[in-house]
Amino acid sequence: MGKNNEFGEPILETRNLTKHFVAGGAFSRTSVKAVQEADLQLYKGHVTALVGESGSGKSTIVRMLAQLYDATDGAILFKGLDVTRRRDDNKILADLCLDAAIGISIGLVVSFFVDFPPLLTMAICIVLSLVFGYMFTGWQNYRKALNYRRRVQMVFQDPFSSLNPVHRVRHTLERPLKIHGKVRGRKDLSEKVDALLRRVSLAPVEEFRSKFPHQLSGGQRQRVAIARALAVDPEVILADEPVSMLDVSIRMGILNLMAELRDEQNIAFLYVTHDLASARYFADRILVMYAGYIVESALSEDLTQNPQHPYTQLLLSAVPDPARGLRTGELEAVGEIPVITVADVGCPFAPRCPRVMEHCQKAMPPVTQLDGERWVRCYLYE
Amino acid sequence: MTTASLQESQPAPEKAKNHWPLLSVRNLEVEYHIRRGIVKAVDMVSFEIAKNEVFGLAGESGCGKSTIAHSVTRILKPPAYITGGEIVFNGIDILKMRDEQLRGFRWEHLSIVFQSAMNALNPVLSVGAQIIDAIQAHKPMNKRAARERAKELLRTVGIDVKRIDSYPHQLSGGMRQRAVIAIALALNPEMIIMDEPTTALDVVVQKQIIREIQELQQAFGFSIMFITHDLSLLVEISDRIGIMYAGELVEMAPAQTIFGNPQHPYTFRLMNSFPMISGARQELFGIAGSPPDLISPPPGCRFHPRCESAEPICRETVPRLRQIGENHQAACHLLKKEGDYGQK
Repeated sequence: MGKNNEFGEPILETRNLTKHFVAGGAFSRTSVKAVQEADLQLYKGHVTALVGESGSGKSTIVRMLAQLYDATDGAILFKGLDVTRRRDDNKILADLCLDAAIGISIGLVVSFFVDFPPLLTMAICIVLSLVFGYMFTGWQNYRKALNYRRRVQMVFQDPFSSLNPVHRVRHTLERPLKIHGKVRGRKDLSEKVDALLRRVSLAPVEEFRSKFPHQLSGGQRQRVAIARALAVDPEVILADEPVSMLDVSIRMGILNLMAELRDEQNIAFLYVTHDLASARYFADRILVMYAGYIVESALSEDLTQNPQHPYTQLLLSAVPDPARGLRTGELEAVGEIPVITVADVGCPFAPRCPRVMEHCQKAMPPVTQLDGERWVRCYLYE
Repeated sequence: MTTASLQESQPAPEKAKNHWPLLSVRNLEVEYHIRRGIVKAVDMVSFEIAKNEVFGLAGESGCGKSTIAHSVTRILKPPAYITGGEIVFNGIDILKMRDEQLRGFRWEHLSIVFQSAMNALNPVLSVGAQIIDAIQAHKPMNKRAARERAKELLRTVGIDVKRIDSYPHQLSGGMRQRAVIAIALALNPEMIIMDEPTTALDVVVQKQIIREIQELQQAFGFSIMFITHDLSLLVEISDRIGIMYAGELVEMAPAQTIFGNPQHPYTFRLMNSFPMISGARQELFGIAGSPPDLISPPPGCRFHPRCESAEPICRETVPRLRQIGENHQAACHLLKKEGDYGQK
């Protein structure tokens, strides 16, 4: 999209990103379309919010971005470089053949020199070669992932399960520093841990360093999780519902902390949430997802004050707003979010849409660029 | 339409005694006796709910709001003990009821909707069977009549009648919650306690269900005690709201007053912890610190360690809930000083 004037080049972006999950039994096998043709961009020093109901595919996008899931189709670009994790069967087969060939040739040579049944020698060499090849590929993938995760970190929803309960906070924060080789010597290590704790306002540092997760409140745990993500100086942080498990009085503190990090360290945030009001508060841009598709993208104020896609309008009308009053707000659509399989064509919102047209059932509408930063996938605006 | 016919078919003559209030909780105290010590989960809480009123109870997790709901229905189990106070429903003290009295009281006069419908429903029984079970447990009614009544109830809450033989796992989250509400309505109770009924649901479904609850409430005229941590939702649905903090009721006022003119520092800060979807975009701060450990709560006002305007008296004396305006009560020492509220 031509929005480079304000946001600059995207640091992390997806093109046509798609994820299908195989579902059903042996005789009713089908593919669930979890994410379809997702185009999203994250910019340095900006927060992009991904908003949708449960089952809309927002967590699947995050997991693909964090390289926890392979992508079915499409690409993830980090600073323009393709970093997509795909499962490529041809490459796996080619690697296996290469490993086997290396094993055979080594076996041939070795069987000349050792006093051992030649066939057995060959077999041992092939097996060893396959094992080493497998380990080498694993090591390569590990290096690649390490490299990527130095730049792209994640904060999970549930701070009660994302921290290891048997380790002290110090250990939790030392691990990424050590693994990513960010420190020289013991003193440097403890200084960096202290600096991280101070950065997320967990003071006094001496006290928090040696606490176990169960001694911390939810908000403090989420601060530790954020500190852990910060340990490697990431350029992107993917936050998957970071405040939805926390008490309401604590949430703003965590969101404000992340806003500070965005402003001071120029980190690009992806804020995944189901709460439009908090997305409006924290994010610069909001993307709305419905049943695997991103249906609308706009600057936060534009999207929340003047929604264009019928689904965004529905979602907004459902958000409790004491100033407006629930009793007056109209809710036009009925029903619930569907699961979309490969057999389904057309706009997934069509069955619930109050302004549905005939061709909505036939094909998914393309992206229509509206004014400036805004686009929408709906035939109403074509 | 269906709601009206349902009302006619199920008159509740002896229930219509005009006691005001319907429910009155006085100085309720509940303790949890755990290995680490005694947790005072509810401390000297008093409030009243009138007939036909929607009373909202809000607070953060662990503030005692669910404990109150469980006390009122007397379903608290050890290690929780009610150690003081009384809960009077229609003139009868619930805490003094014998078991067989309770059996008649629960569901016929007071029912409860729990947060997680998945856990509230029995996974191996169809929805219909569970509604019929609730009806037959209280009323001598043959299977066919009970089934008719179950169908009627499902229609009332907006579930397709064909779903009567569906099992809970075949229903979506919203439909399960509707089914639970149908069970709660089964015997036309005078009051329904709703303990976070929509927290696990998406906003669109939440709104549909909230609207249905409102319609049912208007049609049948039962009272609701609505418990949630979502203040913006509560302000919309409730007539009156009580705000709890660390086991104490700190402020009680009509919903619009809580929204527009909160007086207790905690309520004020809590209202400012919610980003709003409309209106000006302003910076919010939440509340620093976290709720206290109730085994050793801070002396004086329990909120004082997190309160910016705390004064020496707040650390020493426990503030009592008192009248600070018409229909407006709060428990804070500082409010006395402000000239606009001349009470006591």
